[in-house]
Amino acid sequence: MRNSVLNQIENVVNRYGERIAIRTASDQINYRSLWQQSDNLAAWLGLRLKENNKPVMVYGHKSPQMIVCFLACVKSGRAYCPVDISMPRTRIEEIASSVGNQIILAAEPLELEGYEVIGPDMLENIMAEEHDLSYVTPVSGDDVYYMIFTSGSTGKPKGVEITERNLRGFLNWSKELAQKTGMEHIAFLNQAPFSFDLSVMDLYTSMTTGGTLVCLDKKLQSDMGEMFLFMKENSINCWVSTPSFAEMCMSDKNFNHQLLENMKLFLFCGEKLTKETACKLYERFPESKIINTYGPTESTVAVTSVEIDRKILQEKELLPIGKPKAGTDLFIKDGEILIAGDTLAKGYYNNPQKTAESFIEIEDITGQKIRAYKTGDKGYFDGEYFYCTGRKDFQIKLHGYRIELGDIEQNLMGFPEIEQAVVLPKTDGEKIKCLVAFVKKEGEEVNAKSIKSALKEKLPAYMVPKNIKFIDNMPMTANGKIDRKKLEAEFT
Amino acid sequence: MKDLDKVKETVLDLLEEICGDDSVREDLDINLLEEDLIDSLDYTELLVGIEDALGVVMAPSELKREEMDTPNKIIEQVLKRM
Repeated sequence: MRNSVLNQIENVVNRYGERIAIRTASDQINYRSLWQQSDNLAAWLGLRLKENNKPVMVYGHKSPQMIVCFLACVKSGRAYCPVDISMPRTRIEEIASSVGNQIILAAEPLELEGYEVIGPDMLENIMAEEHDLSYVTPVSGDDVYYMIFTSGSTGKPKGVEITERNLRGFLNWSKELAQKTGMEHIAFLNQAPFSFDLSVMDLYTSMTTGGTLVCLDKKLQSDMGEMFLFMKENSINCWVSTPSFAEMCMSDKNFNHQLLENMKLFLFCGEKLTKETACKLYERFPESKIINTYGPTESTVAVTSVEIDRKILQEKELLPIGKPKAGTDLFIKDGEILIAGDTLAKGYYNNPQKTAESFIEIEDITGQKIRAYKTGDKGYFDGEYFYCTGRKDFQIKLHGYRIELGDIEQNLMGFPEIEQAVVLPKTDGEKIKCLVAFVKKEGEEVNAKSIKSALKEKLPAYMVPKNIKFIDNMPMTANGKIDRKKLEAEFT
Repeated sequence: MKDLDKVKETVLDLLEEICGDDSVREDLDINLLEEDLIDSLDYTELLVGIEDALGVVMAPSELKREEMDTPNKIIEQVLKRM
């Protein structure tokens, strides 16, 4: 297919083959090698997997090898499912089992019983050896391109299926946003792990525009001095992150335009951008632009945007999420934001019931029936921009990570020592600071430390509540449900 | 001595709040990183809290993690800057 995502990357490879495509603190790869190595692995996958077209789990962290695996999967006609090393073992096992493919590609060492794990050394050998590519047909059109697992309210993560057409629709727009840097060769910041779909914004916008993706790995992110130096050395000019991450950097007085002289554009996604953060950022980077975007994983990363200029900062108390991209429509129904258009996911992997609940049929303004995704976000339109004001349910965003509080509660109640559990966000002004769990325990053996360490084996670290508070009786509503509001008022 | 008490109390209050765990009071040499009690965002919150309460500015980029990985080391770094 002409102009497919892979074609777009191939055009970059033909034009800028020697340019660095991916750079980490310890490694780098140019476009030519990225393409060649992924060809080799794709051909191997085609021969090895034959008729098995199930998605392939790709495990690892920030490395060129990880990206080679992604491209190889889609070149071989299979979707990939990225899983970061920060995931706890139980989640990795759950995702591997949901994906259901015996073969797992692991760019970092991984042992998983019952699966054939192709580890880093073997991958390196396969990637170096030329294989016959004629056996494979790449992912295209309505084929699933990638699958990302998000927190599910029942305690099990659910896989969102994004098609090649979805990704293409997203990229047509994200490339326009990146053009606002005014640069021909853009150095994109990659902060989010590849298992978080925010990374699609930097990774694919970079690869389809001939950019260099500058990846911050876990180690770098834990040493701000080293991290700033790495950003400076790589002349970052397009920043892609959650607002939380930028706020963290701004807590350091050295984070300013003198450190990052070439910074042109801040692209935010994944959580609410506050006025305070935007104002502070303009003080540090007076010449840069700030763009706020919004969208759930189910509509491919993001679907609305707005440049937060000084006029908006002066006039608005709540920053808008902006206007929908071409090909997307937003509707407000009973106060909830609904999204329709070309980037709506195929659905949830092997979960037709949940898909039918969330992806519904609605009538557009002409009375025509269209497919729409119920975001669960509350919002409104002021005649110019859309705004998001919060959630209808118990899903929250903490530092950009989407968390179903029910997911944590179910996992807590999975411990025999815990009778009831409620998890609530602790807020400071507009920001959610951390999570607090209220627990009614059975017996005296459990304490906060033992609960937290047991939970860390089941859930990613960002989902483990910071505080565990023990209570004798949960407050109840007249209907016999746990009174979350009362709990919140009394304890947080 | 007065400084030490004030700094100690402020740092421990902040750590207890941030870590959600009172073990930071019981063991002042507990390794906050190895025990998974603190992450990068928490460090930021801690340093902002120290600045607000004690007026001591500490830039995370100018500090090595190993200089700040126990309550005692954090107290020492604050005292050095007072």
